[in-house]
Amino acid sequence: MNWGSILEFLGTDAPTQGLIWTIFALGVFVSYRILDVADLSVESLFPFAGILSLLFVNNGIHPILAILIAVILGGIIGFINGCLHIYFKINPLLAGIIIMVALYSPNVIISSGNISLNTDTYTIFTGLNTVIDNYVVSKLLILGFITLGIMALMYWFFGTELGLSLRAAGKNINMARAQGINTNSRYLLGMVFSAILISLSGALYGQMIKHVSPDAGKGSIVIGLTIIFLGEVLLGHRSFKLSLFSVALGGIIYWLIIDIIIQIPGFNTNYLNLLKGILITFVVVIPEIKKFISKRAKNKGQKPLKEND
Amino acid sequence: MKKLNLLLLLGVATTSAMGLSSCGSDLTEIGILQFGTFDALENCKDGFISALEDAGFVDGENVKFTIQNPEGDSSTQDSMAINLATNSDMVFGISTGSSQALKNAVEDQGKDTPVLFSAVTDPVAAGLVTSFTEHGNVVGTSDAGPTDKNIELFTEFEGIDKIGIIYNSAESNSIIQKNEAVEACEELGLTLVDGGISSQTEIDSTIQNFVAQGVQGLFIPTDNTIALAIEGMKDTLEENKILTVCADALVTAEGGSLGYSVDYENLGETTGKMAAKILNGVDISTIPCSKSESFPLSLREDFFTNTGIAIPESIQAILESQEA
Repeated sequence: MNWGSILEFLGTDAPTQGLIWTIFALGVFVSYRILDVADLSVESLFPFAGILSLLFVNNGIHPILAILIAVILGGIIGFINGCLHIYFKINPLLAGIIIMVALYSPNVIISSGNISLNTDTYTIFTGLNTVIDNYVVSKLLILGFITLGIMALMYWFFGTELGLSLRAAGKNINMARAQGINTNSRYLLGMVFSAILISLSGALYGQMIKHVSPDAGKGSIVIGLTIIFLGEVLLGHRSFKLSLFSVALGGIIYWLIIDIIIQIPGFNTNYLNLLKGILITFVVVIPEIKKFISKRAKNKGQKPLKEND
Repeated sequence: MKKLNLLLLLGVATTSAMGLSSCGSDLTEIGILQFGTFDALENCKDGFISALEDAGFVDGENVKFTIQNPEGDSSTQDSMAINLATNSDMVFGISTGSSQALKNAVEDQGKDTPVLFSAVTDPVAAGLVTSFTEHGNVVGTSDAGPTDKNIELFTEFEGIDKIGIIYNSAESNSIIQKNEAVEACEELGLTLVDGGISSQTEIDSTIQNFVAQGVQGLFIPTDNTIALAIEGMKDTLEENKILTVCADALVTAEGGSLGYSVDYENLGETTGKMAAKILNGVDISTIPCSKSESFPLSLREDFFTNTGIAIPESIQAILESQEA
């Protein structure tokens, strides 16, 4: 394995897409694993932030500021989503669907179907590229830095009293109420937190890919959940820190799988989804096969002992 | 133990990814990215390949085609674009999104690989080219259809003054055509009812709404969502005697009434000829982008026999002259 081939691997899509979708999956992790809500609003929120960040950049706003505004607006959407459940007593799943459906129209109107970056406009990635003059490395540096920053922030935040009470409210709402935790405010906080992460990934995605259509979020919740499950199977979720790392690992493995499939020479890409399903199943059952083999080995080792007794 | 296995898995995955990406050959690699499996896009691809074959570039002999199709999934499309840009000597995007993804991937890798595009309605608005003649390493064909000619078709029939338009409002191609239709209707004094939808499930209720509003005609632009659903709309349209003009010949044949359309195979061939020129060493910047020029009129006779609407003589004349 030489450095050239490692660089070539980094030049493929898996590491950068993996990091973008890790941020996305961390957002899904907050709503799905911590709050125990399957939040479908992400399907529209992801392209929403992507479209906004491109729109702002095209209009001469600094790329970092563009991402910040997109993230704040995304957070507000998350707040509305939370309010639908808390104040209007709408089932969280339906609240997510409402946001998903309703946000589609602004996406279409703002992007008029498809928004692309104006030529010679700086993004957060090309900005760093002018300094270090290697686009792949600048993408990886920025995304890696942001992802690690978010994981550190989440590890710290969900260890504070506020964060712990949020986790408690998601795990067992009645128990949390009995402890005097305001579960409504915790729910709102969690939904905003999740929406911020989803918007951040969407905004970064937009600036990285340079064109976003309202359909870009189609199937994104499935990708997010797959990444979470994939990571959990590989690393487990015995501790919170491990859970965070397992999401990051799942994100990169997921895109690695896709990258490997589409690089098979002469591969008919109509089979992509089938092969993706098979490969994901394969990765997920590896630990089970391992367990099965070690169990059999143990049984074999024990039998002679019994006979000697 | 668990960690060791994981490292092993990662190692195997990375090395196989690297191994696959680094295997090359002497043939000129042409990467084709096709957004989805629709007839129009398929025809475009076939036209491209056959034009190259006619020019002496045959798959497996001196060129190698790698065709990838993300089936409408945007993020997979980006992965494929990066993969194709890495491994190809020339790339060809079919549809707006695919072409944008390829152009960006080539740019990001700091290469000047020629990027060809087709089935893009407005390449300037999509940011692919600055103009049809100033375009750097990107060149191709636009599938802008004859929207004004199609709207004029309604005036050939008697008693049509209110028409509907149905399209997926997330497809930029359709939005461009809708705006053209609005202008054409204003000029001809027709009332246009807007029926933008976001998914196939909304088609039925939109058609019902058109019927309730008393539209006598329907215009369908080249729209991938409607193209997939046209067969299901056929009966309702015939029952209510709604004259359906489609900008896509295949949609007309499956459930429309008539319409001028873009010949996608011809469009693909034009793009293929551009590719052959580039492969023969012609400077890409001297080749201008082009639009589709010939728009054949197609007509589904079943619609007219089932509804009893008479085909005007003017249209019959056009059809006869086309056959000649």
